[in-house]
Amino acid sequence: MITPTLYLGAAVDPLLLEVGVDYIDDDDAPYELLAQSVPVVPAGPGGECAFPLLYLSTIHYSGDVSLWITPVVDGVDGETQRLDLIGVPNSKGERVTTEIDLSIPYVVDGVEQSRYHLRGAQFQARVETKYADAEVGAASTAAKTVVESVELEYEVLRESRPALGS
Amino acid sequence: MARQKLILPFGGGVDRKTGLTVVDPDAMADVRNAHLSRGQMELRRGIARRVLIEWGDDVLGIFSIRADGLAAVVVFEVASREVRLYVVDGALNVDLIDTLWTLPAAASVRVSAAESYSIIAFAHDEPEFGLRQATRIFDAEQQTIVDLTSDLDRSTVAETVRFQQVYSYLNYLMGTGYGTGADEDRPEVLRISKPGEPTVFVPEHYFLVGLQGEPIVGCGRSGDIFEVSKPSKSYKLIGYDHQTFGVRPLDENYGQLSSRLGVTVVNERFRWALDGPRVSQGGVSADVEPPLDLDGPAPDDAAPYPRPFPYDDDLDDAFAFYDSVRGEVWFVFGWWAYILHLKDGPAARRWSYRTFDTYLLCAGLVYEGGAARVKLHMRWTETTGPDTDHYLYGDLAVSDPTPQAINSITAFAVLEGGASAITPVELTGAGKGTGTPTSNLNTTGTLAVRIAKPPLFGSGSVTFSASAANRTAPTPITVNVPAVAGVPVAFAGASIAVEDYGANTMRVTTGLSGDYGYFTVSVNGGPESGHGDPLINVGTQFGWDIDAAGILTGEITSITVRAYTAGGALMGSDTSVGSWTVAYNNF
Repeated sequence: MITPTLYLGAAVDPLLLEVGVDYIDDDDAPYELLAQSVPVVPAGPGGECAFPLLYLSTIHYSGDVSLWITPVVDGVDGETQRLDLIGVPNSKGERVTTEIDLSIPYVVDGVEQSRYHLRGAQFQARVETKYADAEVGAASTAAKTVVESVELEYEVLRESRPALGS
Repeated sequence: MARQKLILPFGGGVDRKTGLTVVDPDAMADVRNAHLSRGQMELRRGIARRVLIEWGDDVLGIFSIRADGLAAVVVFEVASREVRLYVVDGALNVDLIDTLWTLPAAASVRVSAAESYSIIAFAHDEPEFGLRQATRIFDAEQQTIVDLTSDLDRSTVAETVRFQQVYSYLNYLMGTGYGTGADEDRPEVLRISKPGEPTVFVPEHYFLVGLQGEPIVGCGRSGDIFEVSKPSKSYKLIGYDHQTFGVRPLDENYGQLSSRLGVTVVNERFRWALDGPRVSQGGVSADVEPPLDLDGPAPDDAAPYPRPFPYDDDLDDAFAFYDSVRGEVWFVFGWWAYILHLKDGPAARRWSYRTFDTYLLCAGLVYEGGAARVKLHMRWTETTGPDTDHYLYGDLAVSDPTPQAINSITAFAVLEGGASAITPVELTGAGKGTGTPTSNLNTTGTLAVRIAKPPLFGSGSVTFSASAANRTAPTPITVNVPAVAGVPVAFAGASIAVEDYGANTMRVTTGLSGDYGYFTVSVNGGPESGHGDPLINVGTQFGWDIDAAGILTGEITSITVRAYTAGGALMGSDTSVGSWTVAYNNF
């Protein structure tokens, strides 16, 4: 069967590069997935919320992959957390929803005393891979993963004040 | 206040309680290296090297030859500035066709191509007419490539056409930027071929598009019109044949930024204008929805290395194409690309951003899985040698896409105009010896060829052909061999001398000058001797040893020497009258 296959041509090396082969690298040069949501402001501008949890829904097909999830509150990065997804051979896709605790532990002398929720007006979530970082980003070339959704749990602490005259 | 939940719009997605609730799909601040479809986001697949062209540096273009299931690949070598055409078949065999151009130092390194009726036309996409090279026509079936010529100024002499860009539309080949032989540099001209005859251009079949001198930058089908864009305006070619074709204004404010930054997907044409991506469906263009509003690195920050020479402008070298498998329109700017994801339909289009470790120059389809069209290819390159005035030197390269499968290849030099017209032919490849008109290469290789030019004969030609088991023979190559202008033959008066030179042999010498093919000698008005090469060649003294048996008895009263061209035309003669006593067997 004849299959029209898409190729790219490049400078420096006279190569034809096939598009859509494996994952995580372009001709052995790793690239990274990075996705960041637009800011949401649940309590409105000027309001304040607590952000205790994220729910990350993924469908993982094959290969091993690590996703790195970072909450961004009012433009400031929170603690990045790692989610390891282990591939199942010949998998048709395993749908997993992972609860990601955004709270920050308060530790005294090595003992956790309490936890803080992230607080702020505006929230974004960033999901990325770190294949290029050999220490943390190990992944296989068949690491097919789909991010379906990211869901934020929040609690309004203070509503925004309506503008004057509104 | 009780806790609540909010779906973060992450490329659409689902609410894990309510099921597939696709939220506003355009709400992403930054998406890099992802496929976006079905309300989901997936790590994109990579690119991998599959085919290496064993020559050159940069791949300038990959063009489908759909009629033959092949792909034409244009490769550039930085040092020599030579641009070559290769063909890749369904088994990914690579075959060199020929050199397209050797570009001047200041010329742009871009190529435009269009397929029409089993030919593919290549135009040198150079805006400066003085640097632009000839438009070339490649016949994929015959594997021949020639300059496009046409007598557009009705001077009775066909001029070489130099389009800046070529396009295929309906059953026509379109070319831009060329007027006529008398007025060549016309960047606003759109020429249209005869229907079904893409290499035939009738002088009056052209349109002046917009302001004179403002170049046409890019064209393509949009809806049921042919869109012709300039940098900041667009026009439309309406109609479907020469009786109905006409050019009308289309878009007063938006054009196309550079020649390859446009692509047609079904009925929509996406093109990059001065303020970003736009889309049209045969009418006035509109901003692509959703707007391209992604966070991302600044272009210079996205470049992992300096731009490779000679690509000094990301915009001029940028290109657009459509990945039909993944439903993505790519706008590629060297190291990075903006991707418009169409998979979820017109209402759910989204943008993403991609980075590459490689400076990309082109994209195209290769028809994998089709029959391997293994065909020998032959190429002649003229070289120089110690006596270039009298000999033609060159390399005859015979190649096979899969040399390991070759049984044998034999190259023949076939002399045209008679065996004596050009002689001798020497094939001086390693181990091939000399003085033979044929040579068995037995593998892909190059053969050094030396051909004696015919003096005072007019131009001759040599035809090379090759064959191998289980291979389609290449198109024979005919090399024109110019004649040596030469010096007319002259005899040094009555200076013929005769001497005894052993049993049955006499030696005739004379003073001669000039260029000639061969001489004959006749005695006492008798028959001419055989041709034979001179045996003595000392200064201008030439001599022949002649078998006297059966020719000479008694006294010799005259000897005539005649000079002929290599082709057999008499150039002149000299007769010496005297008295020489000849004794049989003891001259």
